[in-house]
Amino acid sequence: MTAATASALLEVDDLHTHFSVKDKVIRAVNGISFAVRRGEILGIAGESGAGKSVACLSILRLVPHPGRIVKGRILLTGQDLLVKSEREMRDLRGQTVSMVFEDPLNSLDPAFKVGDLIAEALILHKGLGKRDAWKKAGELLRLVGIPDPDRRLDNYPHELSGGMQQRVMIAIALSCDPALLIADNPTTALDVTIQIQILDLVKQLRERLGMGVLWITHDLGVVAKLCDRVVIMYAGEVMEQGDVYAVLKRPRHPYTRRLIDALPKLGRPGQRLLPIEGRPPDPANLPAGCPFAPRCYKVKPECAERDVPLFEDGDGHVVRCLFPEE
Amino acid sequence: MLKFLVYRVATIVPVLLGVSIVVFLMMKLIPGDPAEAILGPAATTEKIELVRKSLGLDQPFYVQYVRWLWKVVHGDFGTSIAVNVPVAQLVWPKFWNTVLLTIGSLVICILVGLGVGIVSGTRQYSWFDRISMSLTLVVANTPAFWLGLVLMVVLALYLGWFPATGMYSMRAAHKTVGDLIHHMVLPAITTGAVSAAIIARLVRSSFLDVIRKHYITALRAKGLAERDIILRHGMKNALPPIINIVGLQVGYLMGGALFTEVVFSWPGIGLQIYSSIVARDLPVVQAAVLVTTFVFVLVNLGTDIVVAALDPRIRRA
Amino acid sequence: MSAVNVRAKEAVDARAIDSAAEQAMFRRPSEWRIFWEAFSRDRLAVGAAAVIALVCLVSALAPVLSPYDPTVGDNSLRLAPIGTPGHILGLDGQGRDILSRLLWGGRVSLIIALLPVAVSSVVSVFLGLVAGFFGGKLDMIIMRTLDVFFAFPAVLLAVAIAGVLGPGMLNVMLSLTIVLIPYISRVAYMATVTVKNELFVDQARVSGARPRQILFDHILPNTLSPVIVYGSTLVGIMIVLGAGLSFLGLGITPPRPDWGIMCSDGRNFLLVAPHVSAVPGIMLILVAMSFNIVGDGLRDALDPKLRK
Repeated sequence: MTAATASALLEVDDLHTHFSVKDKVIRAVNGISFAVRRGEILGIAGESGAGKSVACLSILRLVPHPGRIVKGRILLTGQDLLVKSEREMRDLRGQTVSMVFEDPLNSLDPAFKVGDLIAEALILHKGLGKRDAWKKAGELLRLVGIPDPDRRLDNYPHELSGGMQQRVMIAIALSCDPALLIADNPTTALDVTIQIQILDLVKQLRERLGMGVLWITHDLGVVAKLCDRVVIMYAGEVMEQGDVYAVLKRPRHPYTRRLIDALPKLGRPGQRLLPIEGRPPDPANLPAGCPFAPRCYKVKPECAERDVPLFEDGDGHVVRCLFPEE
Repeated sequence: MLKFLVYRVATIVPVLLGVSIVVFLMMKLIPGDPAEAILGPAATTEKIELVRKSLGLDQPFYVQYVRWLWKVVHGDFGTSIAVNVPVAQLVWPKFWNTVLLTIGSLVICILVGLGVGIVSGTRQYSWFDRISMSLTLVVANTPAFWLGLVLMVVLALYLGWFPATGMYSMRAAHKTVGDLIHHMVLPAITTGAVSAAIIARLVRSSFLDVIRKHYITALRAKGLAERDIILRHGMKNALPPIINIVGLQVGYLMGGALFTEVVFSWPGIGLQIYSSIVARDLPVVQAAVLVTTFVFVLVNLGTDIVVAALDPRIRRA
Repeated sequence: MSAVNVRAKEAVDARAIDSAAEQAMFRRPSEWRIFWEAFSRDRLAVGAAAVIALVCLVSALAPVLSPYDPTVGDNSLRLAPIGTPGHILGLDGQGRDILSRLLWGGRVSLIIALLPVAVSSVVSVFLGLVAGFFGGKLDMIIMRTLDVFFAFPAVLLAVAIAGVLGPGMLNVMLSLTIVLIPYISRVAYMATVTVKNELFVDQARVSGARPRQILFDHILPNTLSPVIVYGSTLVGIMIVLGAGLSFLGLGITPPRPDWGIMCSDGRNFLLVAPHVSAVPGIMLILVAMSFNIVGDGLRDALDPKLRK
């Protein structure tokens, strides 16, 4: 099921990505569907290992060996990405859709100056000469809020703080005016205060540039602050999806409910923390039926019998549960 | 960068001094009296005393050392006991012959090592990778002198494709470059093979490391072609640790060339050291070891500087 | 929202540190078990170790196993090829049985590789520990002196020292030992410095000051494992270098055989009887390779990151 509208920038439909290791098959992504509209920030939230990062790499078709997209459709500005040639994909990467990664220090080539790293995409996709590319790079640094940008161009990544490195990554991602920006957990490695600055920056950029944003995180607080809509993922499947206020204020899936309960609440001293018991299932050995059933407080025998379909609740709020909350 | 340069150059001075002391002491610690060796059977106690005085052997060690060092710095390495010519005359031409051989070996070792290593490193588990890793394991553990003998038997003596010994054809009227290269092939392969194998393995593992890094995925996400990623980014990151090793290999090449020179009778400094040791001609051994080691230290300095120029992180340390 | 998250995170982190320190104290008993399990999983390394054990055993039993006296030749059968009845590996230029010389020669070739590495390791660990642990002036003196020896190309130094000292097994081993010390010392030194920095940080956090004795209990084992790994690989290299010195005539004195001298003996008969030089060379390659593989296997087995 897709969040309907014809003007969807990115449409992912029933995506399955598997890894074949020796005699096992690791089912990292098991049939997720979602859409990102222009100017919309869609968050994908879930525990580690839920398949969120693999989903992003699948969109870019950069899933590392031995992973393969085995089923599904990915439409970007209406074009089917899964039938494109590698050369056509290279054209799109960095230009129409770009990605910001989780660990900025390790995602920037340490042997190159910041200016070179930003200019590289410009030279490759826009055919700029080196001098023009560097000039544009300086403007981009200014755009992402780095002080004294011209000096920073000559720095190497390891000479910058974590927050600045992440801004550089964002600058690189924005350099060719992408329609879609994918961000995989870009603020986990950063200080809380820096994190807030980056979130504000992304919101501003969305206002100014009108691009769509796909934001991966496991922090519901970030989702609340940043996203317009959210997808809750678990074990490679969509558990709940909808407008962010609807999902967070009135979560319908037991898993979402537990995620929200697990957050400590301000202003309530002496509260006990409520982690979710158990662990996520082994993606090489997924149980039949609902993947959350073993840990669910509402579980009934029917939950483990068959795969649970998605139920739509009007307003584009979907939930994959036989006994959703009310 | 400049600060780094100055610092590194400054550190080699005490090392070079130390090397000269060690070389000096090494010769001093040899059993047997040099004066007796020179005089041979004609030695009488007075004559020995005279020769010792003339050689300056009656002075305390440190005086002898300073005298010797002074001469060495001015290019005077003394006189060969075996051949009675100035050592410098004997040593310098041989040194350049070894340099030629080392250059040839270096070319082979870098081309083969880099080529095999990069292909293996970027295609892990392919048939090329498996075969090359097995082959390099064997070659890396092969004694150079044995490899030389094998190459000599098969390619020179049996097939006759290359000459078996020497640097130039004895019969040729002039020394041509082509002739030189023809004679250099087998010795260069012999000397370079072990290093090539070692370098191939290192390059492979360095590339395997780099290819797995997150920034490589990020570069792909930028839309760069795989080939550009490997050649531009991969090389710049994978090579610095290798350059270090390649520099060390130069030292091995100069030392290992010794075996090759003995097997192929290549008139280089290694062969000179060997024959001088056999002839107990110690001034020559002393000078040859000193010169070779100095060059080795300088080469290492050079590679350190090149590595620092390539990897900005090292300069700060 | 996030502020509380951060404090929760900190609480978890502190617990993790304490438990890691606890584990560090009780780490040692099961270390051997873990190592053995990891090592035995690497079949190539186990195979190579078996080869080494076999060669050592057979060489040690040379007096019993050797069919002929390695120094006595039968001139009528000079240069007989491989497969000659009664002499399965043929005979050399002086009519001596090659298999016998190989067996007896193994003793020499193995010892001149193993002993220098062993002795040099002991000396180097001591030097590295002292320099790394005490630091300061002692560190500088020791490491700078070693740097001077490091400056020599290893092969050159070995040949020069062996040449200067004269032929003989002891002199060869002394030469190799001297050449090895700077290399192994550097490994021991770096290991000591790394562990020293780690431990001091942990100690400061978890408990008060600890007596130096316990630091030796921690630093020493952590220094030994890289030395053992490096040493195994070095034995392979020394087998080849030692044979090289013998090949040049700077090693043991004839008529005692070793694999290097055997290669040299065959030099004059390369076309007519290549097996004389080929066979000992193959043994050298085989044994050196095995030590190399075992060294790699030890390194992988001892690397905490690669253990399950």
